[in-house]
Amino acid sequence: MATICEYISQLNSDDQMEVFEGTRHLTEMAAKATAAGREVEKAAMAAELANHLNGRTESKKDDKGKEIPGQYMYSSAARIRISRLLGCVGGRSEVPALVEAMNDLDVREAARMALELNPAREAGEALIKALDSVGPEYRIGVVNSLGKRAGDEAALAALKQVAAADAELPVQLAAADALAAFPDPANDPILAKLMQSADPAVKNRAARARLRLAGTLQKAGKGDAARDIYKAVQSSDAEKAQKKAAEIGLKR
Amino acid sequence: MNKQTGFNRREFLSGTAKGLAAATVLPAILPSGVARAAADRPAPSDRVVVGCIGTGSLGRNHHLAGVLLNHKSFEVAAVCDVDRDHRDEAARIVKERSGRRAGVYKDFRQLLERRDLDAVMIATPDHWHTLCAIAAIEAGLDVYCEKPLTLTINEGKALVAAARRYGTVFQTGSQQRSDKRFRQACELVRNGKIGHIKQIDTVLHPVADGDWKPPQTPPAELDWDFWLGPAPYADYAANRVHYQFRWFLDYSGGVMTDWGAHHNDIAQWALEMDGSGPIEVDGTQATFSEKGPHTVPLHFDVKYKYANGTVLICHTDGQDINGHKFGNGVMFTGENGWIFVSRSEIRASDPELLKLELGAGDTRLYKSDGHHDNWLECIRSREKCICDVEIGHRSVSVCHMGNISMRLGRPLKWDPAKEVFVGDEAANRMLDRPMRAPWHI
Repeated sequence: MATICEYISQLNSDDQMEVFEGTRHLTEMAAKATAAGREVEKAAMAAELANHLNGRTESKKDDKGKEIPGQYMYSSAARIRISRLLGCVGGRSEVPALVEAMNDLDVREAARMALELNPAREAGEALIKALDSVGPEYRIGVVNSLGKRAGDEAALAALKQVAAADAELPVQLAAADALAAFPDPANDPILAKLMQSADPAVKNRAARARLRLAGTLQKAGKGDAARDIYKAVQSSDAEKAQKKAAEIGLKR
Repeated sequence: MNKQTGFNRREFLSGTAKGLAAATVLPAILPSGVARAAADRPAPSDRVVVGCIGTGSLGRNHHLAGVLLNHKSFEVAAVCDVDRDHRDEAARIVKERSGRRAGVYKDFRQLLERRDLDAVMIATPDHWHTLCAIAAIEAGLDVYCEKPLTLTINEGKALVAAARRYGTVFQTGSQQRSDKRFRQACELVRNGKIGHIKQIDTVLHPVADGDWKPPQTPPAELDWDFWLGPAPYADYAANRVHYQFRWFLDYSGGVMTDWGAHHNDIAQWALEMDGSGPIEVDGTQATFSEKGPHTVPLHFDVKYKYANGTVLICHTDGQDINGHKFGNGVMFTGENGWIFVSRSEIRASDPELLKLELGAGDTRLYKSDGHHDNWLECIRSREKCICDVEIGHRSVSVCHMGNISMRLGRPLKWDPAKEVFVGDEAANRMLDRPMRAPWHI
């Protein structure tokens, strides 16, 4: 049986069968390492993966003495595969490596997904910082990942800011969707304001988010707040399907 | 629902007072097409107008050509597929068979902006089911979605919540429940005709390793990035798409969800577990490919235990149980006998059992003699379909937890009320999957 390092190096291969074999073994090792009582093994595997994620060759100096940073030892494709494995076994200690990987445009989406699965508080903090990244598509992904962290007050605060005032409308709307997963009645005014948009697509999306929020509130035992939203949607110029959903919500 | 006129077609179809009152505002002079329609087809306003999302082989040949275009009460107004050849062929079939030009779309979101649809038929690969279905629900449309309903358990929870929120009539494509043999088997079980059920065995079929194909430039007709959608990026290869997606965990759950969604659904039905599920799952008897490329389990015997003590074992390979050899189907073993059912036969330990008529006090299960007809009837009545969204979700959840147990290589405990694994953080991480931006549930 090869070592973790040997299997990780297979991920760098141009031969897809070799990559498959390495991935398969590492996946099995990760599965075993996540069993109860194997925390030390899990931590060791996660650390090894994190070490390889951003590993570089030695830096050199050019003719003028200027330092040339080393290259990544692993291809982007391999680093993406490593990130996926870190999504299974990664914890607090692996967050810095994933944050560094987010600086690489080719790998950052995979790193973001690994942070999404990471339950550590630091992973949430890293995602909040990543809201400062460039590229609306990527930032939407970051917002979506934060939307999975219901119960994380810092994530909620960050999403509220983005939903209220982000410069990029698609990102703002993604944050509005994400707010619907947090059972905080104070999310509704932000969504209600978006619903006042003259753009029917924005209005529609905000209305849908409000209805989802109402459902989240109802499930969290905040029925009064949910009813307020349903009544507001029902009396608004929302689409018929949304008004019907509001009516259904009020009957529950 | 015709959003443009504000005239609620579904209320009209259901014959409610409001709908009937609305009928009085129809123009006095009816188009000739309506008069013609009365002779051999329902009037246009009585037909359910459908958009088809996913017009590959199953969507096009079975649902579109095989059912919807043959059915006088359905009208196909739009087709959508990320493969241009699939959508154009679907549109051609619609024109040839109905004389109508359907709207043709690559992007399902544009199809859902139409104002003339009542419902959608979803036959995309599995990793797209939930996204398309929720979008359709929130657009106010009724839904028929192929099984397996979801890619993850958390997708199912979100889908059920959305459908309930909007009062959607939702049919999961687990059509075995509309087959009288399966209903008969489940009614016999439910009415204790073979005593307490000790064990149920479902047999699917094994999966092969698959053939490697080199990464290629995607064909011109296919929008590969859109096909991938929420799934992680992978280079295009011909062995990943169009039917073959089933054997890659990034898009599907293998035969466990492909056939398991059918047969484990029947087990759930017989056990009266439609709002619940097993409490334990053991997927340690499973093999995965060593050579690739398929990433789903190839062979397995996954064992489930329900709270009442009944054991369900889901097999890939043929079985010989109760003296009956079978390669695909469901075997119920009770204290007092057994019943085997498949798509081609029903047998019992005592053949007389199959002649039994249910008595006045016996439980009768939901009767549907046609899965699409049932959907249509429910669109009109606003009642729940025989494979309502929660049923589809709970049945495929049985399959998903089996896959999770196999992937982790250990037994797991499941809380069917909270819908989480008990005491296994890694398993709970697998209830959901991150999606590629911009997609999210």
